[in-house]
Amino acid sequence: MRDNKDKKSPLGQEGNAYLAELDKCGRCGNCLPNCPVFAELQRESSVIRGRVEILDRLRKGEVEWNEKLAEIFSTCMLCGNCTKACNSGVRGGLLTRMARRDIRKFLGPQKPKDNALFRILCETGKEPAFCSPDELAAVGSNLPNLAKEEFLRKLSSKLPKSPIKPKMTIAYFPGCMTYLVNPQIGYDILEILAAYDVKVIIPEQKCCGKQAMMEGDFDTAKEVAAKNITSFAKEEFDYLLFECGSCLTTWQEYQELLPDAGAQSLIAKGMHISRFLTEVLDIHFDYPATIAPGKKVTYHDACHLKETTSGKSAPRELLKRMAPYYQYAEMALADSCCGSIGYFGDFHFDLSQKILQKKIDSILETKADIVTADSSCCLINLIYGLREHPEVEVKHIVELVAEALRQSL
Amino acid sequence: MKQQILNELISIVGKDNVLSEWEDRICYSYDATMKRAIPSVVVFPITAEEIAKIMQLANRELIPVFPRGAGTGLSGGAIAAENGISLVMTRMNKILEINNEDLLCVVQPGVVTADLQAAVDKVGLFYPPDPNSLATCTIGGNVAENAGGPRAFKYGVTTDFVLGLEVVTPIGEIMCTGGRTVKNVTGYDITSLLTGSEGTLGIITEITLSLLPKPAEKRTALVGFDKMSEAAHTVSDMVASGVIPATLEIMDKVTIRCVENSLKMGLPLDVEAVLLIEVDGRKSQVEEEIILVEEVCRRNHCVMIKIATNEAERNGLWAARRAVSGAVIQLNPTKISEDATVPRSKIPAMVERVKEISQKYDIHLPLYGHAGDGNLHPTIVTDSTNPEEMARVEKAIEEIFHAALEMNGTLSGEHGIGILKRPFLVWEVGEVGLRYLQAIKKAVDPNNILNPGKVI
Repeated sequence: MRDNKDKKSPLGQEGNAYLAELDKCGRCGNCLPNCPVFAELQRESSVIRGRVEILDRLRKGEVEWNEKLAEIFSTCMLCGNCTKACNSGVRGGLLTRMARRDIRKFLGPQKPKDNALFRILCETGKEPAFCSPDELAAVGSNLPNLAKEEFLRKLSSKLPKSPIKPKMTIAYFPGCMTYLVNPQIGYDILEILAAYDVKVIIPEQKCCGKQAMMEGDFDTAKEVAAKNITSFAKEEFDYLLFECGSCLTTWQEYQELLPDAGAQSLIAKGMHISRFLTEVLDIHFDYPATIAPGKKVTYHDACHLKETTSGKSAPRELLKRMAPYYQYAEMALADSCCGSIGYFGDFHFDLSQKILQKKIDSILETKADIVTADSSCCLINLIYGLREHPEVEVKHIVELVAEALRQSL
Repeated sequence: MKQQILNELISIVGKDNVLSEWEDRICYSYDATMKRAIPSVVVFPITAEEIAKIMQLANRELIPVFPRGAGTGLSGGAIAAENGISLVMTRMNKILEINNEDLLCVVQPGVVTADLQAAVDKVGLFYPPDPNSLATCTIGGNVAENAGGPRAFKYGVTTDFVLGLEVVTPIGEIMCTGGRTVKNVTGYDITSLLTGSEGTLGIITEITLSLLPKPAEKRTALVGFDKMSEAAHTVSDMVASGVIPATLEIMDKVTIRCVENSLKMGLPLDVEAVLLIEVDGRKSQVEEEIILVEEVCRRNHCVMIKIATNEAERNGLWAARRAVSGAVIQLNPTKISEDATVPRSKIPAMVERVKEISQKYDIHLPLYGHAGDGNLHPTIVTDSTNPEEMARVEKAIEEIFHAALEMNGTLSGEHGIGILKRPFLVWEVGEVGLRYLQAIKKAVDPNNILNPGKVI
């Protein structure tokens, strides 16, 4: 038996803050019906109540980190539902990420964490070509084909002209979906903002760091966060815009991650594009009187976006304002997770697919022509889930806004 | 656990439904109390036949078996022993029948209570028992513990809805009790005996529950008082005035603060106590009753009254009540939920006594609960790592029990005896009563296999 100090336990200076979370849990079980993973696996080890018990016993030295525990802690999508449901304030997502940090420290990075794809996205995705769709398919990936030409590669020809007298300047932080999979999302944002005389700057950026944080790789997360903060701090702007809920919420964590880097003054200006369009630009659509009722659209709430200010209401408001060109129909369980946050679908493909199927059934039930969402991972997963239903298009909400504006007078 | 026994369990329920690794078993060591014990194996059966085989094996090998639903119990009933089998019933989660001619449903024990309520609601029916953990807990657990909830005031508790059961006996036979009729006096009322037997007399594998037509309307009011005693008197005055609300819940100041801290929904922080009152029934009836409720509250000097005007407001008020149990943990990490219950007329006296006990022993004792039926939840929020305080807590608990019994009340209204209240059972049932209970247990479970160490 080794000395207690050498045990693979979540101890050490940095660990203590999160261990206090454990004492808040009374094992009431309120997290169970709110956990999409528990709904599938039906095992206490798959929900935060069980994991708190495990961490509590790790703290007491009754058990050490091992491969079995690494597997247990890997089946969490970090959707945040348990944290929201907890009346005792247990921050389940925080505990899971800190546990993963420990697992990384004691057992090394967990596969397929360091695959080629992970590197592409973390290193800003400048060379997307080195991971082929075939390779992804071979490992059972939900990822779609990568764009032939990443966002802003043809900068000069595709960027709308900057307004001569801009009414405001925004800094835009495109997400990985925009960079690598569907650059049209980014171009549509530029088009919409130009139409409203908004000047757009896109400072040099790295990946937001969400995936790294989810995997407990706080070193990488801090590194990309520091680079993003430095780069954006050089610019003057009125708002910092995101088209992905996960990037937005990651930026909101920069202050806690790097308390002295000056993130707070930047993210204080941050908001999601849907909120910006409804609350700041107060966008409206004036269609010709002859316009016919258009396609039926349903909306999927991204787990991270829905917890932000106006995260649930702004996209819906935007969709309602686009009537009748788009006809909005709420789906059942709109705010339940689609089954893949970050690379969860790569880590646990089958489990992710089961969760996704419920969402797909919900979408199909509405008989909508289009499902829209506004976070990269959801869009990627929904495209995959609807691959045998070409009658349903998957679009980012800004694609709809841009199209509706083109129809406007 | 011996490999040969594990293999036998695997042959009964399949490999995927037996957990023997330590890390998995840890996650079945708890319920919503502070009791812990790691079972030596966790088994997930799906039929009564599988359970019968497991019980036969357990009797042959003399291994104790501990039935478990969702593990939300508050008396330690689902806590296993280190050498035992934790028998988790959650895979048996089918609603087999909902019948609106016979006004009943037939369900498996692992159905989550809220899911059943939603399913019967869809066809215009109503299953009233609503334990606080209804979104998580299972019907099987509700029957085993004879769970109550806020609506017990008007509608009664689980046993009032159980018409019949299928159970696996402790020696591994399958038996049906009761049936599908409203009246049934054939033989001993075994259905009632098993309901609330806390998993010690049989494993419930199928349940026939009576249902009611869904009430058409509801009105919910939040009422504040400057004195706890005025809130308590309002409750007994309400009953005496002939108004029977569906629910009549009380929360003291400390409880309100904890909930507000957690939900930030604008609860009144300047009052000493609130009552959450809901009336239901036909439209004309609820409109008449809510006026009466208001009259009784004003007569008892309420300082604020807010009537929910829409479903969202109503849900908000209930979310506040449901949040209580978790929210009070803010005060201290260890929560001991008592549910000593007194006759309704004794509520003001009991409220006073609990307050005195809290001061005498200098412990956090937020008070909330189902005031309408006398089922208060004096909840001790303490720190189990502080032995000096825990000694005071023990004394306070004993004094709460004494107070309840002095007022012709009971140790437990709805949580059950389990492990936590087992030492005190004899206070209420007496030596003769205890021997009677033990004789029943011994007759049906001669090897003391099923949930040993609980209740008696």
